[in-house]
Amino acid sequence: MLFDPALAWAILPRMLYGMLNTVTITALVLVLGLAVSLPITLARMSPRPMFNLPAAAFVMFFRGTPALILLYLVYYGLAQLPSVHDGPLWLIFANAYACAVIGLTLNHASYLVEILRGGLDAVPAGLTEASAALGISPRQTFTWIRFPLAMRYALKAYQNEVLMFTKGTAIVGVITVVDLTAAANEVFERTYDPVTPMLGAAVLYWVLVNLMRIRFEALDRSLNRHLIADERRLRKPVVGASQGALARWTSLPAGPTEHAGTEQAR
Amino acid sequence: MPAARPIISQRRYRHPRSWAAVLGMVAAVFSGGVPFARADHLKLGNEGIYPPFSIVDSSGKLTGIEPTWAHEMCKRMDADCEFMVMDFKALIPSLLEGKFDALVSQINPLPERKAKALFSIPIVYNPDSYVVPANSHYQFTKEGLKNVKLGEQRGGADLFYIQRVLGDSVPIVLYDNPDQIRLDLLAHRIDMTFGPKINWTLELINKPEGKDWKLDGGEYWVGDPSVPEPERGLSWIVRKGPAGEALIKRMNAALESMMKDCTFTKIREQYLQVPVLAAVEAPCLGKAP
Amino acid sequence: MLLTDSEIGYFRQLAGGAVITMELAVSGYLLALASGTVVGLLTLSRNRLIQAVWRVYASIIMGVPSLLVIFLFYYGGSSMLEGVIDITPFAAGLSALVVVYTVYVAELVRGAIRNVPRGQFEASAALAIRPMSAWWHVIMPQAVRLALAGLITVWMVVLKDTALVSLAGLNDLVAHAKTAAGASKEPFIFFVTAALFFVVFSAATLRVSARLERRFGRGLAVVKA
Repeated sequence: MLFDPALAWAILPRMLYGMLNTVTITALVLVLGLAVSLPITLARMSPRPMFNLPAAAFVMFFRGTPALILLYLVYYGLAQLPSVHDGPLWLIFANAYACAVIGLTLNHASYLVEILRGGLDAVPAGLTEASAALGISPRQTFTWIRFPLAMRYALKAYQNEVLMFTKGTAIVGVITVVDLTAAANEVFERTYDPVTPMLGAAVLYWVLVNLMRIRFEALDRSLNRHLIADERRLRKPVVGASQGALARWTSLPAGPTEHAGTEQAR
Repeated sequence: MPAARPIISQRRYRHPRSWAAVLGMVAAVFSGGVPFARADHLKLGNEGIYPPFSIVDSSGKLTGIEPTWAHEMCKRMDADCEFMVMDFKALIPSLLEGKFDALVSQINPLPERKAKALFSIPIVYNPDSYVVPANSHYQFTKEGLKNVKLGEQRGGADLFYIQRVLGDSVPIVLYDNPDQIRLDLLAHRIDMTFGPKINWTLELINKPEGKDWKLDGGEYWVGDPSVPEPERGLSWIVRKGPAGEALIKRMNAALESMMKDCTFTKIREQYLQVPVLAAVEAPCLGKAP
Repeated sequence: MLLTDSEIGYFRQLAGGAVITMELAVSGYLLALASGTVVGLLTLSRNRLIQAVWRVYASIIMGVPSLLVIFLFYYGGSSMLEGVIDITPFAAGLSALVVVYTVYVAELVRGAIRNVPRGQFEASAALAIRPMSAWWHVIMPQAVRLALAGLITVWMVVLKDTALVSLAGLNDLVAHAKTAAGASKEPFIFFVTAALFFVVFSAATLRVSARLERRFGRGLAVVKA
């Protein structure tokens, strides 16, 4: 079986409808993920076990579980619990789309916690010490010095995580949400032609992911514009453009350590 | 970055044997399958989640009416059969892609399916019906079902029928297997389903948890409407081509002999108390097993 | 809570599925490690063709969900390789995982080698160490050190991605959990069990990587908040 352009054209509206869901889910998870991960990151970095232990458990569970199982668990598993099914929460959990957003947000947030932590850790100790010496309060130091720097350091890792989870939304079809992959599957299950709908979906994903990547790179350039001159001078042989791709899974993001390294060396 | 570091134990990196092992694994993986089924070895595809016709029990064994029929058929064909279990949506594509030789889960004859596969003699007549809340009074028309959430199985003929008849007026929710539809019916995430009457009667309506549910709207034949009424029924299928022609002939012969000597009915009675093919089973009914 | 016989049966099936999951994860990881190292070394070449092929390959893999790659291998692979080999769900899942994670391993390997200080190459040359020996005894050990944490985490991700192969018909842990959830009408317990299996393995992996992080992070000051 080969790619059938006529079929591809005919199914395009359905595929774009699915893609719209992929995009809105991605956008929602992006916003919610940031909101959820910030307090958890702070808790995770707190010296008090009362805060950091639950935060660590959160990260361990939601980062360790495949998103697919998480979706099954949120959609079918929680529906079985009387406290969920018969309580006010059911208004949310009755909806497959909401379940998809919740499941993916938990997964995404657990990665974000590690990325933010990596970014905060990468802020050179000297800056905090200098702030303390100047009598700047710890809170102000955090808000105005450590946090903005950490955001910049973590951007590359954040970018990679966002692109990874955007692709990861392809599983929401298993809990009845019609996304791009589910739309392609519908066509496949009807026409028995796997190649056309799936290659079509692959192309659309590729476009989406690369559009996002371009946006991120623009943001990265503008955040780090002060570094460009330095980098030309200091940067080691160019590191692969996608070098940070694995940052999703390492707690020390590739970008920040690189910058941190340069700054510490000075 | 520190320049000098003790060289990491050389032992770990020196052995070319580990690469050979990896290559061996590649070879093993790709040669693992049997490229062509021998005549006496058949791979059969089945759904696993379609009680009482197909069940994977809690010990992991594939049972139910259709696998038991298929075992008997294989015996009569003098073939050694192996089952592959997968979601219904994957069955027809997998057959067409050559993942197995015959699909032994009941398939509704649809024109687009008949164009791609060869159908056996009918093995079961299992019309569709709506499964709705017991206290509901729906009109089963486009208008009557407007915005009613209807759960359907991916890739099924009932889904295609509903899409054809009700069009876009009904939001259809798609599931991988009927168990998931049942979970969501009981959770009230969907309002109704449209599916095989025998299965839904046994798996929901007749069970304690199904007391708030009923079948409604009458019986529907979702297969090819051009099939004359007495010949209607679902079949097992094989790929087109000379090998398929020969295989379906042998399968039909085995099935016919099973029907004739009432083994067909006897097997059915182990799982289900109502006949699945009225005309064929009539002479066997009432005979002591 | 006591389990019924049928629930115990389903748990036994889950255990069987877990073995398949582990087989897939381990073989997929080892193969990706091998081919990723080869590809990573190849991409260090300045050959235009190699660079072009690598760019296209990496771009496709990084822009397309691995689930689609698995589907395309399983359903599309058979029609392309009709009669040549029999693509089982396991083989399709394994090849898809290898094709996808080769890119990530290759990225790590090339990044690591490029980050080995230039002086190491020059010093080896100055000491008249033969190039092959220099690679084997000087560069590779350092590159492995740089790539190690990343390689361990790739393992964690491959392990979790095996869950996707259940959607292409592999009867692994996740597929059994799905069947058991539906048949027993007890989805919660079976999905939690499946989740815990992965969490335990990830936690074990994290412990290893935390130890490595400490070991290789010595000498860097940590800010106290």
